[in-house]
Amino acid sequence: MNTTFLTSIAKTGAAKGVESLAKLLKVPVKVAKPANAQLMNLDEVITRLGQTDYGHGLALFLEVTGELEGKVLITFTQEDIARICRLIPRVPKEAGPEHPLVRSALLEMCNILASSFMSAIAEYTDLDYLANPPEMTIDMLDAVFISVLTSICQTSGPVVYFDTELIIDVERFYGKILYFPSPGAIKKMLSRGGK
Amino acid sequence: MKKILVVDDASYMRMMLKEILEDNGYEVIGEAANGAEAVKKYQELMPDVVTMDITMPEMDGIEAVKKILSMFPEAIIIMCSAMGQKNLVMKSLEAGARDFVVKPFEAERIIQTLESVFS
Repeated sequence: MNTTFLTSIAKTGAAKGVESLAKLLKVPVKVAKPANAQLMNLDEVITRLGQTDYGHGLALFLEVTGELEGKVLITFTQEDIARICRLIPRVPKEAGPEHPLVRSALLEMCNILASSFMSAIAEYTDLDYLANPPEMTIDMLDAVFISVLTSICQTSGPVVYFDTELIIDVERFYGKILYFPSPGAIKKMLSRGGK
Repeated sequence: MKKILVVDDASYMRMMLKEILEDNGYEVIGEAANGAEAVKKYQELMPDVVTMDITMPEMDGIEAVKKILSMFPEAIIIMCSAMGQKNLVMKSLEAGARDFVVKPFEAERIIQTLESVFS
């Protein structure tokens, strides 16, 4: 897939995400380094994800239907989540991700990030999508990756891998955003400028 | 004081919206976490306005708009959508919603929208 095309999507998605997160968290948010996206096959994704022991973390899983049918996975490490929890307005400062209100805010935050990148893909390809209610889990990220990759390996083609590093208030956060388009969706993306 | 029913599956977003509305002189008389609950609460509470999220479990916001308007054609419903839901927003407006606001919520935009539906 055209690298410029993917980079443009990544930059637009990151810009949208930054704007929305700033509104949600009511603190300055900016992109720490130029956003990047790569198209990988599943083996490459497995290799990439297998290079690090992630420990516990937060994973949001979102199914999308429509022309961009597929699945989106967003992950943050436990350490990042603990720092993000302290930035969420109007929740007790000592509350962790198990607090219902904090959990709801984290879900919304990840949903915003997923929507930002998906809407950037939709804009650049002129293809539509409908997002289903997301699911969030706090678990061992390695187990989450295995479970997700196993569930999609029969139905997904290449994977769009976004690297995102954001500065929220004054702290750096690194999140992984993976979009697993269905084979039909990737074909449509390629035909709409992604070649 | 205008009475509002806030519908969103995210408790955090309901809390934030409630705060904006109450700070600006509106009364939040009820909350619902999905479309089915919204239809039930509408009948019980008869609010002046409903703010309705689109993507929710059990019954989505568009279906709830249709159900509420089929029983109460004068109901005023404002959709709350995440970014990139242009098609769903269009469907909501076709179903009879009066206007929409994009999440995350901005106080100014919400109040402008409410003022415009009441004017």
